[in-house]
Amino acid sequence: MLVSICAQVFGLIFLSLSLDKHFKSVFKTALPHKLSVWLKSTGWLLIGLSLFFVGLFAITPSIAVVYWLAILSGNIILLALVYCRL
Amino acid sequence: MKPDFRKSMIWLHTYSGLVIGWLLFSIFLTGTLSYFNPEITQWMKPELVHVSSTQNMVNRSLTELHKKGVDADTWRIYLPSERTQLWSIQWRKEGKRHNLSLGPEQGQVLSPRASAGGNFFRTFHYTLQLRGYGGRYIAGIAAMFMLVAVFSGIFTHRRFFRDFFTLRLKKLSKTLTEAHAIVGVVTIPFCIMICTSAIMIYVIMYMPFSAEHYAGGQRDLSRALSPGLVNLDKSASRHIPLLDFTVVGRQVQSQWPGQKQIRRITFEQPFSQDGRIIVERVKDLTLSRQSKRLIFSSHSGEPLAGYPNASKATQVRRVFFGLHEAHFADISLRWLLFLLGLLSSALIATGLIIWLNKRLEKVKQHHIGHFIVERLNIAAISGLPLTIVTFFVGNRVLNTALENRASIEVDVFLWTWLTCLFHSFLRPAKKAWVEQLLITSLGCYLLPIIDLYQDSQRLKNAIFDGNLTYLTFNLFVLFTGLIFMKTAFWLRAKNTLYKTVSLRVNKLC
Amino acid sequence: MKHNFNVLFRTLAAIVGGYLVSAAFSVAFVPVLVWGQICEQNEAVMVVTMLSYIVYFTVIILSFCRKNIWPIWRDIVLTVCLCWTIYYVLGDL
Repeated sequence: MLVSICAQVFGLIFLSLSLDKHFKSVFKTALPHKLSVWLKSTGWLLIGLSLFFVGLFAITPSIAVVYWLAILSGNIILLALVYCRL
Repeated sequence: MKPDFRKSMIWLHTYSGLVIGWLLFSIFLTGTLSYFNPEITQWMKPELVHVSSTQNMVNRSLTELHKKGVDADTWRIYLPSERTQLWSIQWRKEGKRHNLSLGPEQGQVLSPRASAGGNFFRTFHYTLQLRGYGGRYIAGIAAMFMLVAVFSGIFTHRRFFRDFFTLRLKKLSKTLTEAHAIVGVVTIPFCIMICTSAIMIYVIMYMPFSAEHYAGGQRDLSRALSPGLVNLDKSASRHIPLLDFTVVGRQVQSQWPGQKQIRRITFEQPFSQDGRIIVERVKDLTLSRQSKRLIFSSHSGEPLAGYPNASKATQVRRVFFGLHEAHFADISLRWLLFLLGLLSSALIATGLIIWLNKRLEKVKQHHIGHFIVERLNIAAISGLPLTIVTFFVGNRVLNTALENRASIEVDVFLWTWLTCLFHSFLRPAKKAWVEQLLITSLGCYLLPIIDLYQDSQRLKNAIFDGNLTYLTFNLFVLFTGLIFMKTAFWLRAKNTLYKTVSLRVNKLC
Repeated sequence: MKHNFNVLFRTLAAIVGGYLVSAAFSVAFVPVLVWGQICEQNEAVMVVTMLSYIVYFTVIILSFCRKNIWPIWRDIVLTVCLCWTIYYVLGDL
């Protein structure tokens, strides 16, 4: 379960970094296109993996999906609130 | 209506949100509290003790029922869970219902104070404390409005799907707008799920025409789609029901592996030859509202034919219902859903405040409509938390021996809310906000203190027994008090809160 | 004044017209499902009633998006007539 949460956190970070605006505000350099594509695909992959990891933990597949969506929402807001501090 | 789709959506978002905002905020806040319904009930009935680890509960219940419920039409045994800590037996004889809360000691009967408990919030959020079905219709309409608001909101803030956001805390109006946007995006799946499932609960009631035309009405349709068991023959000969549940318990255990799988045991016509036992499973294991049930004979304990399978459509509806109630959620998911519910309530609240701010910025002449919106905002957004805290205070303060105590507690709730309404209309706007927030936080701080004053054993027992429900409730209440206090001070410090509505007296008269 | 009329017209179309369309849909499409042998009648009632809310939602959104207001009610009436026709043709099967 914790693995799933971590996977999601990193997935979301990667996805947000794949955007020009955010990459620039963190790393202060321009975002090369190849890196952007890599970050995007890895980010989505991590989020998909997190669904798989939740599925290992939860009782039934349907409950796993609910878990995953709820944790995803939680992670998004955490990321947004923490991010604006950085 | 407006030149492009996005502008129409903005218009729709603004007005659908405004029309139903205060009602929706109340429904969402009380509904969110319902996620912790049994825990709140536990706190509100401090006479309850930890019963869920008691041994041999079913047989002990049966002993009591054999003593008290002779020749009853129905027997019910509710087994406690970690969350409810409520072990009760019920029997119905000649139309009258009786129930007893049992305690862990042999023959112990508990008498918790009469209180609606956390269930008040649950029933409030769909009945709105109205008689009959009116509340359910209004709540359903509100759910539809919310769906429209969420959908139009997605298009209003469409560009936020490309970027993420910043949260600027210096300027109040910007803070509110950005908080509204970020919370809105995060709670999109949650709100859509809650509103859709809410409508699906009363799906036939809101749109009965098809059911009435083809199936003869809603009741007949449900009977056709989820058939119950065969009707029992009332004239069957008398037969005493079993005393020892072990024979049934063994069969249940083989079909439902695991500990504490039984939620409720119902004996239908226990003293009849044809009487049956319906054993219902706990709801944690399925998304559906209806958990599995096993049927046995009430005197011999042999298995009988089970419930016929409900139709696929009914199962889908039950999953919607189950998603809405979230009985399947364990403690961490439950807190997450609770948080999402609070965020949705905050979404509605910020939306209402933003509406007023934006309107006051645009318009030169304030009129009575703005005044009403401003004051209703205060009465709903800061008034409802105040009312909820007062409800809890009332639970502690009201005499336990009062007659109709449960409905008096509800009266306290309603009258307090009305007082908040008057307060918000009579005081200057900013003062009204600050005062109500401060009173709420004061109430929050008072709650654990009142508890300590009334019975200091409660806290000691809770710490020694590890009663997390009690401790978490008190901690959360204190935390809420802190938040309200900080918000009140922050608002008070702001010199220009926003433009408050100023009506010229001669325009009013 | 014109704006107020516009808003009232669209609101009535969305709330009342939408309800009419979805009610008509919920009655008319039951025989369609039965005829297509997708499910039996009672189940079809439940399915179609659930789906009718999507129809309702669509009418609400469309009522506020379209440029001209008169086609809104025209289309609502037309859709109800269409549902009635479907019911008339298939309903007695």
